[in-house]
Amino acid sequence: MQLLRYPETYVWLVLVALTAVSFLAQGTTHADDSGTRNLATLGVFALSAIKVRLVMTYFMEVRRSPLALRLICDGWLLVTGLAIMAEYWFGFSSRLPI
Amino acid sequence: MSPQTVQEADPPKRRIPGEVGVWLLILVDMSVFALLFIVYLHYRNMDPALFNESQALLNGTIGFANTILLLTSSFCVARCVHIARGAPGPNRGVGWLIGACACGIAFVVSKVFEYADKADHGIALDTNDFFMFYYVLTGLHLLHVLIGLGLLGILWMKARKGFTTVGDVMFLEGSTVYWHMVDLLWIVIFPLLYLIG
Repeated sequence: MQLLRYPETYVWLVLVALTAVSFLAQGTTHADDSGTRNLATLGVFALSAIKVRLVMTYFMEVRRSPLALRLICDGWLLVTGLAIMAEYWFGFSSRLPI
Repeated sequence: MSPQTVQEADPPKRRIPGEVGVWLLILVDMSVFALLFIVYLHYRNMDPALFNESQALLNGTIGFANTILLLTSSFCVARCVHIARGAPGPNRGVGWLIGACACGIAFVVSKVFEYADKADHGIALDTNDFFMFYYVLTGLHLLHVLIGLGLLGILWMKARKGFTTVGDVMFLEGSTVYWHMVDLLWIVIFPLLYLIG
């Protein structure tokens, strides 16, 4: 298979697999145990962060970009990912003095 | 003076794919969406029961299928760029471009059916906070999908004679980076609206 010579093919397969894992974990996220549900949700967020980085790195070709763009993209992912997880877990925005 | 031709499949040295201005637009867009994601979660924390009940009314399978469609579309576009840049010429990578457009159109059609289904059940923007965010997030994203499809359509026309000049390749790269951003945003929207509990 000629397609198997290209890294994008493997990236696409991994992205589809991670999406399937997240979707199947949906059953767990609706479990009655809120602790398990919250942990599963954090796991889904972590898988999404991996997917976003794969898209940035391989599809958007950030891996071949200058350091500045790579840092900006990784910075966006880090800040957004941490903010989403912190807001979900702690509700940090309601504690801000604004 | 004849336009400069581009031969390499993979640029040999580090450079920004597409125009810097396109990346600025993309980064601003991504930051606006990031703020929306946080605001959505803030409102979710204020009434998790309502958000969970409302989320249960969404069809997770459609959300999953939407994600696979956009991931596949992104893959097709990435292959198109690789082929079109590798050996410039008429119709290079057009098949992959058509595949990308087909996946994008299928996404739009599925969203139309999803919205129609919600309307049939009397669910609208003002039903509750969850559905306000559902329509705002998916609606803004759908607008980006439509803009991206327009860009893919222009690429399709350009591909008929080939991406032979530096300007053509810059447009190809800029448009496809935008399309990947559309995919990237959905990767976050999907779990936020359909999966988390």
